[in-house]
Amino acid sequence: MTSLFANLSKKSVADFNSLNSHEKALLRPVFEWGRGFYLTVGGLAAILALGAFAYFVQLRNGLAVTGMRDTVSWGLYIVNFVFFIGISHVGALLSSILRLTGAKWRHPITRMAEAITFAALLFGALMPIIDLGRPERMLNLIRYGRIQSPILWDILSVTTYLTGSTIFLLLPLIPDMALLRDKFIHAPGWRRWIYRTLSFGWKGTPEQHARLDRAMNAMAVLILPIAVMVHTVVSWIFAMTLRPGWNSTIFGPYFVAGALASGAASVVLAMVVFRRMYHLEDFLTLRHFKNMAALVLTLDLVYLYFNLAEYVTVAYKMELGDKAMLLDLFNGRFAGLFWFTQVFGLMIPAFLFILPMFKPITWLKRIRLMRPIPLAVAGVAALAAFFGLSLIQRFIGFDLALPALIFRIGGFALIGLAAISLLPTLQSRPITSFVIASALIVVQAWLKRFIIVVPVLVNPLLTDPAGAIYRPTWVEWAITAGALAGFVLVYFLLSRMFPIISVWETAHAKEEELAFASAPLLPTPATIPSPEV
Amino acid sequence: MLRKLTVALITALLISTFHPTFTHAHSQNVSISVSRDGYDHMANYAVEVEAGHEVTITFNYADEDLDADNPHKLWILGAGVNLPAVEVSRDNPTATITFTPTKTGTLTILCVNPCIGMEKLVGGTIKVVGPKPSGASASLALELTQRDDESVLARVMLKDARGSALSDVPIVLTMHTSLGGELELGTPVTVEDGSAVFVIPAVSGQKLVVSALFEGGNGLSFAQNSGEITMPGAPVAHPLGALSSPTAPPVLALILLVVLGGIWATYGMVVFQVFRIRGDEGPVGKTTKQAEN
Repeated sequence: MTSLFANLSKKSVADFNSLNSHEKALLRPVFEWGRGFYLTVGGLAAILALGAFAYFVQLRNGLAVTGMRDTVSWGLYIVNFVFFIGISHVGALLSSILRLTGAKWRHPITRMAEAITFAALLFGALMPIIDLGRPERMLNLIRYGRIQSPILWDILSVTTYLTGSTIFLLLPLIPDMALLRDKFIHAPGWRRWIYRTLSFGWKGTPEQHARLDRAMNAMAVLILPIAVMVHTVVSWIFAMTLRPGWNSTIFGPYFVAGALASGAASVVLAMVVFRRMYHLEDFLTLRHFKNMAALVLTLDLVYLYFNLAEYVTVAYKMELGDKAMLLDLFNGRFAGLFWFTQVFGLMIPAFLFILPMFKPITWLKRIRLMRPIPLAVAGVAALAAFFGLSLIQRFIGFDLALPALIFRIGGFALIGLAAISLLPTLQSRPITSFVIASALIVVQAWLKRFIIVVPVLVNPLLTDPAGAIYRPTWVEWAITAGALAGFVLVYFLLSRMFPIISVWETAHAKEEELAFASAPLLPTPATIPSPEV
Repeated sequence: MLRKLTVALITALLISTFHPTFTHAHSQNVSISVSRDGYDHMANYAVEVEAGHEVTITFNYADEDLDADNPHKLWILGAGVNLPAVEVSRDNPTATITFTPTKTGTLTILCVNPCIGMEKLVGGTIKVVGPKPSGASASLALELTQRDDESVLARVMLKDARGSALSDVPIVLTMHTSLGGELELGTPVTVEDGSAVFVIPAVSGQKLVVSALFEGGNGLSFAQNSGEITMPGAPVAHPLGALSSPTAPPVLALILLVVLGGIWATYGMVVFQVFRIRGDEGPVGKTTKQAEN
C-alpha cells in the first residue's frame, strides 16, 4: 500500500488505511497527488497562462488584435460561449431528471455531470466579458442596459444558472466533505479548511439528512427549467434578430437539444477517462455506459431532427436573403465543416451507438483485405500523394489533375474501408464505440456553434454580395485554447479535491440494493398481518 | 538534386501558407496579390517607402480558382501621388506601376472595380516616410487646452535644431488607454509655422494622456512629447437603464422580476437549509478537533 503513496506522509497513509474498501476505491485520487497530477496541472496551467497572456495583449491593444471587424463582430469568443453553455447543460439534465425519477444507476455519474456544469459555466460566463472591448465597463450592461435586450436577459440568466449549479454541485458534496474532514485529518491545512468549511458541520443525523434532502429536491426541481431557460435565452441572442440564418422560431429547442446532446456526450468521455485513470471499473460498469449511450443516442437523433427541420425548410424556399449564407454552408467556404457536423458529428455517432446491438458482423473478419491498419496506412499514403501532386502541379505547371483525383478518391475510399473493417472490433468493445461516438459529438458541438455564428455574419445583406472574411488571429486561438485548458484544469482539480463519484450516495445505493435483493418476493406467512377479528 | 527539390518544396509550402503575399524590399519594390478576399489585412501595412525615391508596385491577380474572370481595377493616391488606375485580370494577371512619391504621408490603394464601396475591406495603405534621418535633432512641443465642454485642442509645434519651423510634416497623435495601450487619434500635418492642431473628443472628469510623435525624416531624427489634461467637472452621469428605465415595458419587467425573484428566493431557502444543517451538527466540531490531535 505504501508504495502506491510515495508522495504521502506516513500519517496520511494511516488516514487512508483507516477507510473501508468502498471509501478507499473512491478516495484514492483525493489522497494521492503524484507526479502525474503535478505534470497535468502544470501543462494545463501553461496553456491557460498562454490564453491569459493573449487576453492581456487584447486588453492592451484593443479588439483590433482579433479577426473581428465591423462586419463580423462575433467570432470565436461567442462560439466558445455557446459551446460551454451547451456542455454545461448535462449536470442539470442528468442530476435533476434522474434524481426526480429515482433512477438508481445515476449515482456514480451525477457528480461528474454536475462538475462539468460548474467548470464549463465558469469559462462560458467569461467569454462574453472577453468579447467586450472595454471589460471594465461590464457592469454598465446591467446599470444602463435595456430590459428589452436579449443581452441583458442573457447576463441575468447565466448568472442565475452559475449560482444554481454551484449550489447544486455543493449540496451532495456535504456528506463527502464531512468524510474527508473526519478521515483525511493529516491533509495540508488549506485542504482541511476547505473540507471543514464545506461540510457545514455534517454529522449524518436524521435531521441533517432530512434538511439535505429537502434542499436537494428543491434544487433538482428548480435547476432543470433554469437550464432550459438559459440555453433558450442564449439562442435568442441570435433568434431575436432579423438576420437570415438566425431568424428562426425553433432556435430555442434547437439549441437546447444540441446542448443536451453535447453535454451528455462529454459525460461519457469523462466517465471513460476517470474509469481508466482512477480505476473505477467497479463503479462505472458497462451498464452505466449503455444507459448513457441510450440517452446520448436519443438526444443525438432529436438534434439531427432539429437540424433537418431548420435547414430543409429554409433551403426549400431559398429566399434571396438566405441564399448566400446557405450556399456558403452547403457548397461554399463552410461546406466541409457543415457536412462534417452532419455526417461525422451526428449520423455516424448514432450508428456507433446502436452498432453493439446488431448481430455480430463476423463475416467481415473473414475477408482478408479488410485489415484496418494496412488500409489506413495506404489511405493516408494516397492522400499524401494527392497533396504532393497538388503542390507539384501548382508550382511546376504540369497537368496532374487526373492522377491527383485518383489518389484523392482512392485515399478516402481506403480510409473508409479501414473504418468499416473496424466495425467487428467496435462491436465487441461497446465502450470504445460509445467513446468514439461521444468524442465526435463533442467536436461537432464546437464546430456547429462556429457555423451557426460565423457564416451568417460573413454574408451581410447590405454590403458586399461576395461576402466578408473572418480569420481568427492567434490571440483568439490562444484564448480559446486557454479556456478549454482551464475548463479541463478546473474539472481535473475538482476530481482530485473531492471524490468524483459520490461516496455516500453509492454506499447508500449499495445498501438499498442489498436490502432489496435479500427481501422476499412475496410476503411470507409470518409477515402477513393476521386479519382483525 | 534531392536537396534542391526539398528546398523548392519547403519554399513552395511557406509561400502557400502565407497567402496573400505582401512583400517589400529596400529597393522600394512592393508586390501585392489581389483576390476577391481583398489584398491584405491591416496588420501587414508596416510597409514603408521613402519619399523622393522611385517606388514600383506590382499587382498580381490571385482569383485563378474562380470559374469566371474577376478583374480588379486598382487606384493609388495620396502622398502627392494621383495616378490612373491599373487593372489585373485573368488575361492580364500582372500590372506594374512606377512612381515617385513627393511627400511623406500615406498612399492609399483602392479597388474601384468591383470592390468600390467596401474600401475598408480591400483598401490598403503604404506609409511614405522622409529620407533616413541623419541624426540632427528636432524639437516637438505639445500643448493641450480645453476647447469646450466636450473636446480638447491639441496643438503641436515642430522645429529643427536651429529653431526653424518645419512644415508639411505629419505628427502622429496617440492617447494612452487602460493597461498601457495606445489609441491612435490621428495624424495632423504641420503648416507653415510648424504647428498642427487636432481636436480630441472628451467628457467631463476625463483624464487624457496624449503623446505626439514625429517619426523623423528630412535629415532629422525622431522626436516625441506628451502631455495630460483633466477635464473639469464630475464624470458624466448616465441615466440608469434596466428595470429602472421609464421606457422598460412594465409587463416584461414584471415577468423578469417574478421569475428571477422566485428563483433567487428558492436559492435563499436552500442556502438557509444548508446553514440549518450546521445548526444541527451537535458536537461534531469537537470530534474533529479531537481526531486532529
